[in-house]
Amino acid sequence: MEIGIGLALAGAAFAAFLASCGSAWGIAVASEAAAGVLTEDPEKFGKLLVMIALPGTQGFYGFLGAFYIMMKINLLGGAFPVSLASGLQLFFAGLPVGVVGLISGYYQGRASAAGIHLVAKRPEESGKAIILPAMVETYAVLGLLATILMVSGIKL
Amino acid sequence: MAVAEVVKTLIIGHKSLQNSVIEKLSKEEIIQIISQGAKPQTSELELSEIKAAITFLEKAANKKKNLLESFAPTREIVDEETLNMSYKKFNWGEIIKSVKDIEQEIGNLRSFMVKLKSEIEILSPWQNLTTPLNILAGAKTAGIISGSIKTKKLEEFKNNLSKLTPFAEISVVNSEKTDTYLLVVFLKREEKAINGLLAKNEFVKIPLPSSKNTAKEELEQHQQLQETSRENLFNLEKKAKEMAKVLPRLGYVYDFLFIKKSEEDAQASAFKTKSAFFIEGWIKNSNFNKLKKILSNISNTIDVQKISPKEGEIAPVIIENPKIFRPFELITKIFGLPKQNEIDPSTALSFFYLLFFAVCLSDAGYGLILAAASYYLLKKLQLSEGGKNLMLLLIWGGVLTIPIGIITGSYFSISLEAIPHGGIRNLLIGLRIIDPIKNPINVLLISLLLGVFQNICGLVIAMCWQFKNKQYLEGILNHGLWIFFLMSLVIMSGTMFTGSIWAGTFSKLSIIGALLLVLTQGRQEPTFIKKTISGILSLYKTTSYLGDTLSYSRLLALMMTTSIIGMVVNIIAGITAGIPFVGYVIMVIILVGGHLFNLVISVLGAFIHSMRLQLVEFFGKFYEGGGREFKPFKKETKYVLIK
Repeated sequence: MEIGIGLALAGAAFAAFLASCGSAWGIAVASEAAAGVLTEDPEKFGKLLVMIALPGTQGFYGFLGAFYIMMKINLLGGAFPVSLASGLQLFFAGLPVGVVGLISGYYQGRASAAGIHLVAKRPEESGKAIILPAMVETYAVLGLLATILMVSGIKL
Repeated sequence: MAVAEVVKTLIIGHKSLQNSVIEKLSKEEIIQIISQGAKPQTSELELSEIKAAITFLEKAANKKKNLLESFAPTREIVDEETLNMSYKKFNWGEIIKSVKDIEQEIGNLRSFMVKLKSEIEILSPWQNLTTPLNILAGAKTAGIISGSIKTKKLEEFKNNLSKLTPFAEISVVNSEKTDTYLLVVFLKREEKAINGLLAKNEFVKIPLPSSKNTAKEELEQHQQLQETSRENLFNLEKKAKEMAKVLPRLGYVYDFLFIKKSEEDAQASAFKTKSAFFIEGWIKNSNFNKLKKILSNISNTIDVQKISPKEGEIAPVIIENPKIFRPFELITKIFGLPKQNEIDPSTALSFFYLLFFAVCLSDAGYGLILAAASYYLLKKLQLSEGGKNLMLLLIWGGVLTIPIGIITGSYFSISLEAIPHGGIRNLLIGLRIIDPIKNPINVLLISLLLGVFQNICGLVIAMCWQFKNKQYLEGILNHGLWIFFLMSLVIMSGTMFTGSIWAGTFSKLSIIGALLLVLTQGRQEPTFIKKTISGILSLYKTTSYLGDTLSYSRLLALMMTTSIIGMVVNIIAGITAGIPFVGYVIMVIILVGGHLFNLVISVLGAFIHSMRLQLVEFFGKFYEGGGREFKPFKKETKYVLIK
């Protein structure tokens, strides 16, 4: 019984920590680029803040996946019994959002940094600069969806 | 709804009328003047000088813009007469000169202080030296070298020196933990040998300034200088700060000159003969008569006519929509304006955009707050055209989010079952048609169906556009067949899923559709075999339609992000409520802060992702873009808005 809950929690933990690491990494990459632009042009702070925030969503997706697993086993209100098999299933269900979040978070940060350079030179094109990193995010969304659908389909 | 017709026009008149014509055109803002490539004589230098002064003063005033201002800069509204008067009456020339002087003075002072600081650093170890510094210049036969050596090497150095020559003396001035400062007195004829020894013992020469004062006196003088320089700098900066109050007026002068420059550019764009001027420009066809009338008011000798564009010359694009659709032009513009012969997608995307935005945000409470806040900002701030449109989009999106929130039963992610009041609880639960947390699959299916619907709409638009251009057959074959095939495919999977008796019919229809595609899609190829192959390969496009549709699953994901993060905020706030004494205060802080945060990131996500669905999935079906924006000649300004 306990090992089932342990595995489910491992799934939730992987979802949250991998995706959050991805976001932290991506935001750092974007922030480095933004800080460079800000030394020349501090007025762009508002616009750049949006660009920096873009790779931050992976962390939320990971957290969301983790929370969804926690809700599934009712962790916060006295956990349901979880069999070994269900625990293993929940563990794997947590992986898509975590792993995709880690990698896409980093790459979205790079796309954001590229967009930040675009805004630096042509501030009027910031709409386009926001769209480019959002392309990367699509796959984080898919990872989250995969996790949610798997978790909601698992029978305890 | 559509792309307006833009025609090329030629204005011809007598030279004496040129100024009044250009003045008039700049007021009307209806024509884009085509430059003839002449180099304009400009007020460029003055402009850049004022700009430099403004930048300096803004920095000196240290005025911080808040976050809102950096998103939507507000400008003062001023009438043209004020600009004119400022230019004439305001002694901006002097101001610029004194700003320049101050800037230079501050610069000099700063570099002087840097120099002082480094000299003080050099002098400070030598305070014990009681002789005037100019003695170090040496005498006829004896030389003196000042410098430092590592303290632990001092003894070794002394020994080495005494071994080398008896005619040298060391005088230690200051011995610190790591370094020892000393003077070496030697005979000049032994200079070479001494220098060699110094280098070997890592002796660092420190040349001291020549002065009849002692090091200590010199140091004190320096420190005094430093003090007065600091004071001077402070005063200068204060002065600059005071001068910064002329900033608004400098802005007026700048804008006056900026307008003047664009008029000069327009003047230079005109082609001139001895007695006539010619102005070429683009104008919306419906404005042509207006232009004619305006110019005939100036003089009936001015001739205005439509001319045909030169080969390869492409007219700029104006898109025109009824007022309520105008905010959506923003999204079209992000992708790029349509070409002259293309459809303007702004109207078509408006409905989908708002719907998807609302589905992503999907919380009635958030929708209400967003609509109210955007409305407040719209009324409160002096926004540019783009800013106004953005606010309008957010208002619409927020309003539409309310019904979606009611359908999904989300009000600040509160669990409806936990509402204590029975009547409200039952009402809200009754209004809830679908619960995304409990039934994500249903919401996923709805999202995908929305995707199918929008994709088909895109194809229908593409087909209708070809019909409009009288390409009936092409329209049917390129798009109509696909619409037929995809729809029967979707309905087939739906009927098979539910086990309906229609499944067989639609599977046959799908096969017919596929066959028709195989037969027709390769029609441009020359030989029969190539026709067949590319016909079969065209079916592969189905996967790209499938991918496009799956992309709409993000609607579900974003919907759940909003509600689950909101739920987490509520749970955490609920936990803190149990803390003794301050529990409820913390709870309120977490609730307000948490939901506000969730609102902001959810709106950002909803805005971006519903936009992406338009730009990539929807536009991909029928829209190419790449038109050049029509930029009318007008009184353009940087710092103020003209009344």
